[in-house]
Amino acid sequence: MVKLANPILLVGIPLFFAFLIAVLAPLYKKSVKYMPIIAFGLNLTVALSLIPEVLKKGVVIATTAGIKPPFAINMAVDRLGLFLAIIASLLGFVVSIYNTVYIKDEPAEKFYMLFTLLVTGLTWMIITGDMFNLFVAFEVTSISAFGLVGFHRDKGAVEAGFKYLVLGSIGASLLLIGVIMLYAATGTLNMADIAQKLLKFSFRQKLLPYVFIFTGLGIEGALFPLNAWLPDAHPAAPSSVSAILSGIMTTAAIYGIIRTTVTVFNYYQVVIFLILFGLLTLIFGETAAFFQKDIKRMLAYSTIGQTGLFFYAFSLGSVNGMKGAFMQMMNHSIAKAMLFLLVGGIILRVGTRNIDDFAGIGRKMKITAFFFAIAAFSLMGLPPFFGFWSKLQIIFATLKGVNFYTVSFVIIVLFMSVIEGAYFFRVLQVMLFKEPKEGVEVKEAPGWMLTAVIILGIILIVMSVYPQPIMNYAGKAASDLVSRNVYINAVLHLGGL
Amino acid sequence: MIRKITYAIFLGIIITALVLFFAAFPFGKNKMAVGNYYLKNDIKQTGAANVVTAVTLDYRGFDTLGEVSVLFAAAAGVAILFYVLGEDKKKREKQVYPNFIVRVGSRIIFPFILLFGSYIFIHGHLTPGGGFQGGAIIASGFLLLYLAYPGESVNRKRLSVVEGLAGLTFVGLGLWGLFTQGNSFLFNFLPKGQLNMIFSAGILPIIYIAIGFKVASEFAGIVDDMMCEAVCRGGEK
Amino acid sequence: MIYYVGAFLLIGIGLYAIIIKKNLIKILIGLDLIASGTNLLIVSIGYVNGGTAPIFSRAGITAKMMVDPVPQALTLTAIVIGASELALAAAFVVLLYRHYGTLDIKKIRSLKW
Repeated sequence: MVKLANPILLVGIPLFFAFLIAVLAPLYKKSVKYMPIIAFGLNLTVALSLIPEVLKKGVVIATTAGIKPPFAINMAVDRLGLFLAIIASLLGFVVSIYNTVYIKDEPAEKFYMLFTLLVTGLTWMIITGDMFNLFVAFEVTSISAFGLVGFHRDKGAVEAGFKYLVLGSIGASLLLIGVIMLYAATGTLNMADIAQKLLKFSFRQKLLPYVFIFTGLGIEGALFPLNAWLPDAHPAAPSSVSAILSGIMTTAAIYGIIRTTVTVFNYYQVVIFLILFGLLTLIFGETAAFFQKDIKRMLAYSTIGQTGLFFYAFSLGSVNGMKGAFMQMMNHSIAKAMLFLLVGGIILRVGTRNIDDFAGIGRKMKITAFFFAIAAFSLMGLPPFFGFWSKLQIIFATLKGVNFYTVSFVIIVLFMSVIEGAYFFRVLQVMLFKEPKEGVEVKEAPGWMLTAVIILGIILIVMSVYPQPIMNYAGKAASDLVSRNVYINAVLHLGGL
Repeated sequence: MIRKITYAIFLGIIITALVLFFAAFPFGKNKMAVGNYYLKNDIKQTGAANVVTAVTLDYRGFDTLGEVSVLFAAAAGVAILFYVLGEDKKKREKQVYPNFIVRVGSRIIFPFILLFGSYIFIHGHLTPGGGFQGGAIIASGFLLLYLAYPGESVNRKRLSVVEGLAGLTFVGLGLWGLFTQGNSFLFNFLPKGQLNMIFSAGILPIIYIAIGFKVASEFAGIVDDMMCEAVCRGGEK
Repeated sequence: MIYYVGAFLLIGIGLYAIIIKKNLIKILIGLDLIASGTNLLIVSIGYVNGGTAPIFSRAGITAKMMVDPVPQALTLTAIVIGASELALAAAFVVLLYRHYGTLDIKKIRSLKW
């Protein structure tokens, strides 16, 4: 049997299925909606089979064209990358199941093509080891997302899609200029090779390419003030697409920033001043979410806030801070995806996105309300859910040295958590305790949509009951990231395949 | 006015910083590190006379796969945006056709455009050019036909099948290289042949031919969607 | 150096068009200018003084006389990606005009805070 534990398959298999959809669509229309499920199911198998390899070797490398890096493109998966790749494949698989029942508009086959490409691009961004390949994967993701945001073709979708397109294109061009500046300086495009060659440059000389790359990736990664497009684009997309966009796309862009900052640029100590970005994003996101009446917009602002939180945790610069950031990433991806999928079911039954119209539906849609509560509690950080452990880790990492700044940071984080709790409890209160409006008849959401949510819910509950293995893994991932030589040596001396 | 002034100041700062950065890497200085390796080893490792093609398809073939996916996604996105319900019942309104010279001239020129585009993508590994350029030329031939005969249209289902099969060829060759030949995606497993012959450089010409078909069919699809947006009537909106 | 400055000016003019101008078509042209400026920058990075095209076409060409092939390959990819973005942007502009009836971006503000 072929050797399955190869990171390239994480990209090769879904691309194969995406082109297969293009062939099958004019001939066998009904079969098209099962293709993404098969593709991402295979992806999930490959990702899971990579776990023993990564645990054994630290970094798994896959080459292309049979030529050793840095003279060819390579994929390099370390613990953090594997972490995120598993989340991406899992979300892709689960949301594909959801899609079979949720997507009713035409043209459905193009939707499945774009959806497969979206998740493929995200996985590609996470596993690549080459700067220009990062740009190409970023573009695959962006262009698929532009098309998907405009899928409903109504006024809101088209305006949101256009705004997203203009800002996203500027971001991509900035990223490209940054990569080219790195090429001009070092003559190579491989991440590990650039990392070695950049050691000769001073901080000031490296600053300009870094600013360009940071801004380019930050536009997609929802950092303040570059996230003007997000509150319009994420709600306008179909709910399954919003689950992917909020769940893993911002995280993948932030992963790009993390990989660039720590491994390539070795700015490990200097990230302190990025704390400002993280905290501003957190404050802006959570406060704006509090005032929203549209539930998807509220969830989109909440994504901004959570991204700010784990970016802040990363920029603390310590191993514990990064461990907290990775745990929070995992918590947010699964919980936010669950929330968007559930909200899609609710909107399907109720017909509106306004929170006040959700009065009393919790009594009829019991499963939906139950899992909504679980996901919301985990996101807020209530014990005994996983979110509690990740937020505790972040606060613990902040308070390593107790002075005026760290205490004020902790106060901000706690206060924002309280605001977050307030708006989620408000939604739950409306759903469960208010009287339903006159003449509103709702049933539970369709079966397969619930199945998708239940899978994610079970994973979340298991994580909350046994947090230790994930915490240990996150800790090891953080310390691997900080000691960059693990990554660099593995790539340059081909420690993998 | 305030906005323009702030923008001008901001732009001035950025351009000064950029000029200072690039002063260290002046125009025309040899900055190659991996470039030298490619130039020296190209003939031995890939057998392609055009080093840029070798870099695009062999050394950095994965980037080309991404680029093909981007084009695929863009064509699908445009098709989604211009989709109107009742697609197969649409009729194109019979327009007033352009004059005699355009109609006849386009039919005469179209085969030559096809020939020229095919020449460019078949010889991609020998002369400047390749799949993307050849495909774009062929698509411009289609555009010419659309402009001359706005009432006609290409069969979209066939375009979709061609597009998909071409993409499957590319990914399939890569996966074949991975599973059976060298345990490396896009491994160049066909014989290298003799320099400057058409059948040289292993799988490179095959990939470029597939890309040429794919790009031509995708751009033709985009042109068809935009043309239909202008002239289609009928079906339910 | 003049090629670098030209590329940055193109990018600057494109950014100006996107941020300051109000007509949708002008914003579209701004996107195109940014893409063109970036591509020009990439190609001009690779030039070597006195070099020639990296193709082994004649008998006497050696590897030492060629320019850098890598930026040319990168530009190929970047041009195609830029063209795809523009096609999608043009589709969005057409749909926006159909929905709102105007090309003025100040009037297209139905999604509020």
